[in-house]
Amino acid sequence: MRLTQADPAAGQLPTGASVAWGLWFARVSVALLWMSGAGWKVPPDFGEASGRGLYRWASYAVEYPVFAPYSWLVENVVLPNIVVFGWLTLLTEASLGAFLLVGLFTRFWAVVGILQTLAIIGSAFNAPHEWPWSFYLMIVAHVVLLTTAAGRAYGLDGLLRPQWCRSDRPLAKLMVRAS
Amino acid sequence: MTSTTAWGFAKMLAATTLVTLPVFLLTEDSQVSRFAKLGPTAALVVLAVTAMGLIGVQQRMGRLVLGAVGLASAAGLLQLIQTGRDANLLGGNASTFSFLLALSLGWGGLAWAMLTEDSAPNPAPSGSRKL
Repeated sequence: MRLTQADPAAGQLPTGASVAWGLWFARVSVALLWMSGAGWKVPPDFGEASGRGLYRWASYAVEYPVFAPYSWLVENVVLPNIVVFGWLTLLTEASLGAFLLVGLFTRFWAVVGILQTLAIIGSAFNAPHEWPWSFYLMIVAHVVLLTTAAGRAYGLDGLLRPQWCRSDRPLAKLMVRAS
Repeated sequence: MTSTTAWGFAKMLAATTLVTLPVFLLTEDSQVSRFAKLGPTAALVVLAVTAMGLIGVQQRMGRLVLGAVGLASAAGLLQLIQTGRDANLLGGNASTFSFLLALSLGWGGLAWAMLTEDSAPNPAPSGSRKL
């Protein structure tokens, strides 16, 4: 069978308002999930004394190993320094929520979201009562935000990127790539 | 793709805030829909930031928008310092900090756009995206 393309535009990806709304919805939803995740990272000890919270979840990497080198890293580096890694996790997830909510440097933060999801997978993937689909879906959602540059859909990237594109400054070029 | 204007983004940010605020306020810690923990004091701060930002952008009052950024940043910093402590003025946690940081970034980006757009030529509207 020979396929003929009478209308080349018919096969192109849609670029209308409905797509923009869909990307906005996806971006804001993912942002709210990260905000929710940041909420249970509680300083000052992040659950070390009580054996709960982030300390407990990080220790799953040792109790239910997913990747042996990562388990070693958690046992020997992360858990003994849980306060430092706790703050790092809190700030990363709170920033993911904030930057994705307003759509600023969305492509950069989508990559950070993928890396943070991989770190969570390394700890919790084999833990009891976990649902593997949720981890796969987290990766998928961030890949969508990254490849579509979703911050340009009703986000700050869409507002500020034209200015950055006109600038010759190295920082502006970096921001263009991040958005 | 629809192009984003300062006023359009301001309305989107205000609408997102006003739609999510009741969800944050009315849900309990145990509920999965409580994406951010917001007590009455934090809610008042969020409403004040939103009103200042929206009016500032609409009336082209850059200083009012910067005031909104300052208020959101100060409240966010206070929440970050007091998270997990007994003295917690806003009664929130890291999710509250994240939401206040978002408001600070959002209105800050708008203030930046307002301050710089006078010196730059307006971009021609485009129907295609540059990825």
